Amino acid sequence: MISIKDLSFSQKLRDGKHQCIINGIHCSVERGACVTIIGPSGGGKTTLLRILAGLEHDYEGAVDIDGASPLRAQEEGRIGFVFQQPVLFPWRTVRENIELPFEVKGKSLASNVIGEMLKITALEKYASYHPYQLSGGMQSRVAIARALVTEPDLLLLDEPFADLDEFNRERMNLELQRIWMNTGATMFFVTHDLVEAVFLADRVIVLSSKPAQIYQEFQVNFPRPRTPELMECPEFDSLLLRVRGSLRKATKLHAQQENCL
Amino acid sequence: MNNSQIDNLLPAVLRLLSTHATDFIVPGVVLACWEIAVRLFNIPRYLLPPPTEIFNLIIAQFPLLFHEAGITLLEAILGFALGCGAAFFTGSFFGVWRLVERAAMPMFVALQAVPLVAIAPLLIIWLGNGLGSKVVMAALICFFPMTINCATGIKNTSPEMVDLMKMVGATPFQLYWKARLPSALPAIFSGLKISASFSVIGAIVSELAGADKGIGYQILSSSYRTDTPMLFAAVFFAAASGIGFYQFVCFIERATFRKMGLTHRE
Ligand SMILES: Nc1ncnc2c1ncn2[C@@H]1O[C@H](COP(=O)(O)OP(=O)(O)OP(=O)(O)O)[C@@H](O)[C@H]1O
Ligand SMILES: [Mg+2]
Repeated sequence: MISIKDLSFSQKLRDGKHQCIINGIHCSVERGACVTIIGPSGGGKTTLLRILAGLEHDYEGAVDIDGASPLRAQEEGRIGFVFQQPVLFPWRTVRENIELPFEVKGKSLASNVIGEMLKITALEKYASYHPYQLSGGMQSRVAIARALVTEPDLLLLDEPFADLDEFNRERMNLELQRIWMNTGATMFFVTHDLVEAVFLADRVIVLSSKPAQIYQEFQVNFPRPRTPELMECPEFDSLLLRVRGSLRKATKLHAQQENCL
Repeated sequence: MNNSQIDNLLPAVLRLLSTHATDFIVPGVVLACWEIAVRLFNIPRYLLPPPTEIFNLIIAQFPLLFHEAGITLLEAILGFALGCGAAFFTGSFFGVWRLVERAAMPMFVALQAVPLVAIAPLLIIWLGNGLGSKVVMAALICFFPMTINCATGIKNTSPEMVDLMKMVGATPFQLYWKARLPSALPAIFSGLKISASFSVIGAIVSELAGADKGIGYQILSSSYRTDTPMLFAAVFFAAASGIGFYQFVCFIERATFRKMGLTHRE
């Protein structure tokens, strides 16, 4: 269970002023749920994930990850984070990049784990390539593989499929769903793609623009495992439309605020 | 060398000359002008000897000059190893701990601007005119630029990479060894390249301040004898030593980057 109570965060700017980025987020997420987060660009989604990951410390309010602070959970290696950029090590091959978490922990790994992960992300042929030899989408798949391979309790994904084409994205969504169902991890998934957001979610959270607040939440109750056919059914479409409308209002709100200033 | 080897060698040399022909145009023209000017204006050879004479002297005195250059190069390499080795530790220290860096870096940047070669005579007084003073001079002159390069490289590791290492639960040493050090390698190698040429300069300056062997000693003693052709020949060997050492470090750099699977982009 992850609980976020009255979370606020401000970033100190260079001129000494503080800029409020998150302003009172309150939610709790049961273990094993998939929460997708959408919201206008620059709204504070990445910042929220960084707080959950224990990478930002100066927040107000309380964050609890299965009974531990984010920093504790991070140090115990229970959190997998796919950053908005792939962040690959250029001197390591694809395989070596995926192996990094094991190497760091000094754990020996079952030989098939990496192979399995390479297969899922369709990178088998590129195992011995270096990152500069890969396309952007391939690089982001390596980053995903690296985060999934240790089977963390909490998965934070920051627009992981932004660089993929429609159908590779669909395939990766299905694979992600499968892995997530197998591991029982709790998942926070940030995306700008609404279809993806609704397809994966148990719950869609729409954030307002900066300073971020929860604008609206949607429960998504379609049975799992979900298949691509789901996207063609009318219930899915009507939910998608409602989410879309909500995001539009959340963004408009921002535009009005800007005008007032 | 038998005839057939010479037959093979000649085309190879010709090919080399033809591919690098443009490289020789400017030095060739300069040397030709020099030769002509010296002969045309009857410049006394103790002022400016013609290149052909210097060339003949280099051939004639090759064993001696080669030996002396070897001594200088040994001093430079030992100093290089000592200075860069020490700088690697201080630089890593500075790069990892912000506080240490903020306290000590300004002093280092200031010290880098001090012409350290000025203390060469002092080192001779302290350490005698043997190997020691030369090695220490070369080490000192390498130390500051290398420290600054190493510290900058380590410090400038991308913050995303540092965050990633935290997420996978890396210890501070693993963070240094697996992320910071490899990303600092380009900066470290540019420090090593600067140091390679600096170390040869340091060794020669120290020899000029007091020595009984080495290429600097040859430069000094031929100037006392007003043996200008010999002085030119010695300077030629000094230059060749510096360039050779620098190129060697470049070679190591390329080999390292190739081995790490990084294409070497300049
Ligand atoms: N290091 C920083 N210093 C100052 N301000 C920052 C810093 N990092 C982020 N911000 C500010 O915080 C706000 C939220 O940034 P964040 O990266 O969380 O947005 P986001 O919702 O992830 O946007 P996107 O969808 O474009 O990725 C931005 O408006 C940005 O100006
Ligand atoms: Mg973001």
